[in-house]
Amino acid sequence: MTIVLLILVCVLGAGLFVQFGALVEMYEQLKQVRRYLHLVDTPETLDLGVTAGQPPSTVGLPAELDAAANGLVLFLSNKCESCRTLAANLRGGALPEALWVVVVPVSGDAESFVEEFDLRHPRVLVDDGEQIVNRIGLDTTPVLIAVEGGTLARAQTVPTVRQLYQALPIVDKRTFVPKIPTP
Amino acid sequence: MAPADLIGVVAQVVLAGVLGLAALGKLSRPGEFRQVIRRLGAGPAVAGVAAGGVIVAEAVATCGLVAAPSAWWPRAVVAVLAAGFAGAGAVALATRTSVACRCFGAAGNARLGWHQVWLLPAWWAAAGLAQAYPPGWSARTGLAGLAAGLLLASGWRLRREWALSRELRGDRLIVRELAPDEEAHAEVTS
Repeated sequence: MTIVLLILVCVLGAGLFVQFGALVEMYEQLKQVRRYLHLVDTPETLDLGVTAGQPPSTVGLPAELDAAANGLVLFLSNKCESCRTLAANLRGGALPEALWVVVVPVSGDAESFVEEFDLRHPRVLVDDGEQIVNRIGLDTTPVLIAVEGGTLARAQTVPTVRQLYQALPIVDKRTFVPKIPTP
Repeated sequence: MAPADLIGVVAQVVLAGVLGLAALGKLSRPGEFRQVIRRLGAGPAVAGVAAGGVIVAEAVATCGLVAAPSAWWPRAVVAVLAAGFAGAGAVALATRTSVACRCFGAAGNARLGWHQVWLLPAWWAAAGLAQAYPPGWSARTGLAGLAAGLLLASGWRLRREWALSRELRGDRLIVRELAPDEEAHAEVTS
């Protein structure tokens, strides 16, 4: 009886091994397909060019950031779909402590975007005439620029809300609770 | 346990482990192994039978090595299989054919060739040592060991599967769900 049970366990173990192998193979293929279709949650580092290491105020950002030891500036355009997703998570001006938001009106008026997501907060700016992004040389959104020691340190794309949380300083991740829509 | 007995046990366990993994690996991708045999010059029917035969032989030899440790025939099967692997390498070398080696069923850049030929003495040495100092465990102990080994190997694969599934789930969340009317639009326009 014990022998029969052991044989049964061996057969099941072999089946599990083969099945898990098939799953791993399928997942690897899915990863390949997603990478090919650019559906992966991977931020890309952007070059800040000559503005790297300069105080934020030199590109038109608030002078307050020049004194910030650590800060993040999120650039959202009023048209891109990812920007809308990020803005929806900041609805009502629920901004973490270290985060500034710059709305770039690439077409039309930024006011409707600000109103739609109720981005009412002193740290939400509108980049009229795209002056700030032109000085930095940004031609893509959403983008996050890190300010360290009062200077522009680095920039990256923000493909998802998860990457936004990832970039936030730990103290803010702990205290920042995204708004959960009530049914 | 005397050192000589230990040598026999180690040789037998290594042979069973390597052949068992090889059989399971080939079982996961039987089509690819069939292709290897076809590339060596066999016809479709022969390749199919040969591929199935090798997988069955490896599985049977593994079971024999663990459940009947003192029997000579599992080691004889190992010796014949090893000669076959070396022969495949020799054929690839002689015909200057570049054949992907689906060793253990794995995908990769490895090619059939000298590697398989050089491994023949190692296979035969391990089989010879196990034959000279046959282990004395019972069939029950051997099968329990095989079951534990298979479950451990499955657990190792589950770790990889779990990590991949978490990563894929994270990436899935970035894709905006389409509203029903958008889905209908996508179907109409595609």
